[in-house]
Amino acid sequence: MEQEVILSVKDLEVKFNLRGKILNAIRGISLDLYKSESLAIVGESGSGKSVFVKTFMGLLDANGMITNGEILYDGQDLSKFKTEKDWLTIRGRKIAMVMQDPMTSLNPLKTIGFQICEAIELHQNLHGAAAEAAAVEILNDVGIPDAANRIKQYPHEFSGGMRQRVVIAIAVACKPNILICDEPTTALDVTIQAQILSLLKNLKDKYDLTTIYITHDLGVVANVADRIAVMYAGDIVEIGKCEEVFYNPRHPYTWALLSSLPQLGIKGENLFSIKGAPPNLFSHVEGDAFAPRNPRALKIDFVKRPPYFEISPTHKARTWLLDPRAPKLDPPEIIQKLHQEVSGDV
Amino acid sequence: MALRHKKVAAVENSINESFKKMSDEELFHFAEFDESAAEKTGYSNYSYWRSTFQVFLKNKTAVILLLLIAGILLFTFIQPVLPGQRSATQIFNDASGMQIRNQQPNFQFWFGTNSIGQDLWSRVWSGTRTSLLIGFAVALSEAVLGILMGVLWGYVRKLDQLFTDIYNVLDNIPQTVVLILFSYIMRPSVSTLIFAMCLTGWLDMARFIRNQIVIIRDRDYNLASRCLGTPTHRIMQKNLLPYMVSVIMLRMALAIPSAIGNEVFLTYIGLGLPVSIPSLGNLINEGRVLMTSEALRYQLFFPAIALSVVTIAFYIIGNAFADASDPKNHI
Amino acid sequence: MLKYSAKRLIQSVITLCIIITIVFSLMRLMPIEGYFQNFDKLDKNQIHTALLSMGLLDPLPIQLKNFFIQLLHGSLGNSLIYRPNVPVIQIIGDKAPVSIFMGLASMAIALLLGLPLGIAMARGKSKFWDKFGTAFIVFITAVPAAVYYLLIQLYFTDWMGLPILFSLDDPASWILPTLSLSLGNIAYFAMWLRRYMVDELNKDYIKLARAKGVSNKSIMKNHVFRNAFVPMVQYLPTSLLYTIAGSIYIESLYSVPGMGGLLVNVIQRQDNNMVQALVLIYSAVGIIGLLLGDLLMNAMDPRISFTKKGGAR
Repeated sequence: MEQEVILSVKDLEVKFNLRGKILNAIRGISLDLYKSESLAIVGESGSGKSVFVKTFMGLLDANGMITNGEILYDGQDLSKFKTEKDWLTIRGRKIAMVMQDPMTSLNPLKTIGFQICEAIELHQNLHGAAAEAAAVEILNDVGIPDAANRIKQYPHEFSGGMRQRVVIAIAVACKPNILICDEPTTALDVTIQAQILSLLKNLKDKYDLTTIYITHDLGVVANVADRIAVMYAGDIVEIGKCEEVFYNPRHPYTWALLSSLPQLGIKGENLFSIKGAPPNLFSHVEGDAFAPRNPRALKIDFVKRPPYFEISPTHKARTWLLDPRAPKLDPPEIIQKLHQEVSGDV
Repeated sequence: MALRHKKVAAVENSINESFKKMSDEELFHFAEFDESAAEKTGYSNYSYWRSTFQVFLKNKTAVILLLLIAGILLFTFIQPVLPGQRSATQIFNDASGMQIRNQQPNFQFWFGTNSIGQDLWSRVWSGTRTSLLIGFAVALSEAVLGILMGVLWGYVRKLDQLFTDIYNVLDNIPQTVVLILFSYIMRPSVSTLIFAMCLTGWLDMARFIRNQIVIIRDRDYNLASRCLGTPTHRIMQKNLLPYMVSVIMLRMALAIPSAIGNEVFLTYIGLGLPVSIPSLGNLINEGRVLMTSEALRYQLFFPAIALSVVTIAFYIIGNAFADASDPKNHI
Repeated sequence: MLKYSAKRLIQSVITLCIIITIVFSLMRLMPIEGYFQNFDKLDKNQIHTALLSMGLLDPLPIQLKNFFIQLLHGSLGNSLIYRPNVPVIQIIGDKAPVSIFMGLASMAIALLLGLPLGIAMARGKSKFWDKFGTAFIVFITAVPAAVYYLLIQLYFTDWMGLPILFSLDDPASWILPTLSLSLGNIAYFAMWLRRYMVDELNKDYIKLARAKGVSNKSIMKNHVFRNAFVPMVQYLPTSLLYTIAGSIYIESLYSVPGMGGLLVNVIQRQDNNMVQALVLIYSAVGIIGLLLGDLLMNAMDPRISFTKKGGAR
């Protein structure tokens, strides 16, 4: 894995204006994205994962705004982009996205050939028959049989998994540097999920893409990620290499997330679940956002927001538990079992 | 519910305040875990109707028009009993016994007189009264008939196909044609008019109600309610009724300008109310005949303005209410 | 597609027959005066004899049968009062071309003006065109056509120096009637197109199109408008009905020698056969309009399967 940083986010803050009330969706995130890596962003619904990546492409809803921070890419600060013209240099061309719901991501009244060629004509400078030929080739790449004929078909003639392949084809046809996959397998059958993930891995290697996966499914993460960033309430609470986060998690939220894996359940006993619900981001969050739901929270968690503490050069977490003054706390038993379970299986 | 959350918040705040006063030493100890605090998030005291009215009241135009219409309505009813008001059909003669015809608006006759010496002011109010009456009667009948038929249609499964076929046939007949036909056959009168207009209006209402009822059965969130054991009447009350009532009211509000428009149309063709009953349609017709003469144009304007104000007001109010009752617009 | 069209066509014909039956039966309730020129002068016996000879005293089913036979022979009977003994078809045939021409022209204008207005309204939500368009639509939709038709005739003839009455020889006199007729539909099309376009703009596939770098302009043109236009097709029949209703007014106002004006006349003269015939013709036009709308809708949307399940349209 190369250490060259291609995208760097510094102290990003995003707010939404909802009928007069301000929602703090992203509360100061800093993140470096390395070339050719595969980064997974994990978190509950509402943690801000999608909002975060949308800022890279200027796809925030109209009532959203970046109120602080920078997004440095290719020598430019994307957070300062104002006009559509600026964003058109990035969208597709440099950064492309695969969205969650393949059933609604495609225009039902246009052939998939049209929709792929639209991307090809914009980004590969091919037109007419040449574009079509390129489209057929890409469809083959993503594993759609009989591509030459299926190019003339409409989205409703494809199954969910096939449609997602088409969406991936469109994204790849843009020849991007960074590919963002926003919950690419959530809406699909489990059996198809594995295929799509495998496809994405192959494409990443073939086209030398840097990929970002957004998901709430830890199983997906384990499969594809080099690094994991755990998000909670608009902040990254822990980030590190895949093995580090899975086997040596340090933030209580990561513990809670991992504990929730059904595979770790013990037969006959209740499955673990995190008590409570994410905080209301309309109001200012004091201290650590996860504190109210954390049975082992320190008093200081309610008062001051923790800074990042380094666990290793590649692994850090935002928790006061890593402060030298904090009492020693072992991760829950479940987590300790995880290492054994998985190493046992592998 | 609101009280409990306020209590939790208060306790929490006091805890946080006490924490802030502690030394760093003390802060690095474990805090007590309060499970109820964990649940303190999206509490909502949402009430559908309250939100609807709140959003509606924000629409200043609609509120002003609502007040205006209420005022006009009130006035149409008290106008005849106010002192100094004249009858709408009486013909007035001047000192020499001649009919005061085509008198332009002045202090004696605020809207002037028409070609046979009747007071236009009282005629306009009387006409507005009649037209509004027709409008309300039509809207009400459409609603009642539509709801009855719609419930039958949606509820009794066996009737569904039959009614659907009937609907498809009836829907094909242009409404105008039905109006003309029935007015022609039954000879014009207030009741004929109302009857003819109701004939076509209830169809749409019935179809809408029927669709809603089918939705009771089929929509996921209603299915979920049923799975939770919610009794049907509560499903209707909480899930369906708010939406149905608001749309029914919208349709009624829009039915009124529509009915008035139809009345004007029929009058124009010659199938409207007899001239002895002043209505906005009649008045406009009378005014139309004279419109080429500039001096007499006022006879067209006053009823036209009254008509426009009433119809535009109902239309805007109806639409504003529809927007307000759409949960997507709620706070 | 062919199979569906055939099916719908048969449906329409059946509907038409049902409507003919209904209208015919209802017309039997018409006042008897409508059959006679000099009703007052006739005595009971003469009336009775005449009714008998016209077959009006036969039982209803027999009258119906005779009527259908007559229809199949291409005849709608004779006018009795308006133009005695002249075949209805002939009278209508004289008047129809003008109405058809004006109707089609006004619908074309409505499309040409209404669609761009709708697009402008959708693109600049809450900006000028949206505000103007909304005010326009509210006015046209709420206020009965009678009123604004009159006002237009009153003022625009003055301002623009156009003739008040229609005349076949003077194209300048065609402008106001046709334009007035198209107003209702301009508002209708603009309103619905705007609504559909705004709905489309919120859909997921638009987000994907944006994400892949398609410009806003292209999105509007190729995706939003194209997709919003499909359901618009279903409004063609209704707009046709509006045009018919409107034409009855306009033709009277401007003295256009068309079917609408004819209708007003024969109602005033109480010529039953003519009223019956015109009502039937208008119904038929309405049905054809709905049929066309349906077929067009199906042709344009590849998703619609050609078997519709139960439930009203």
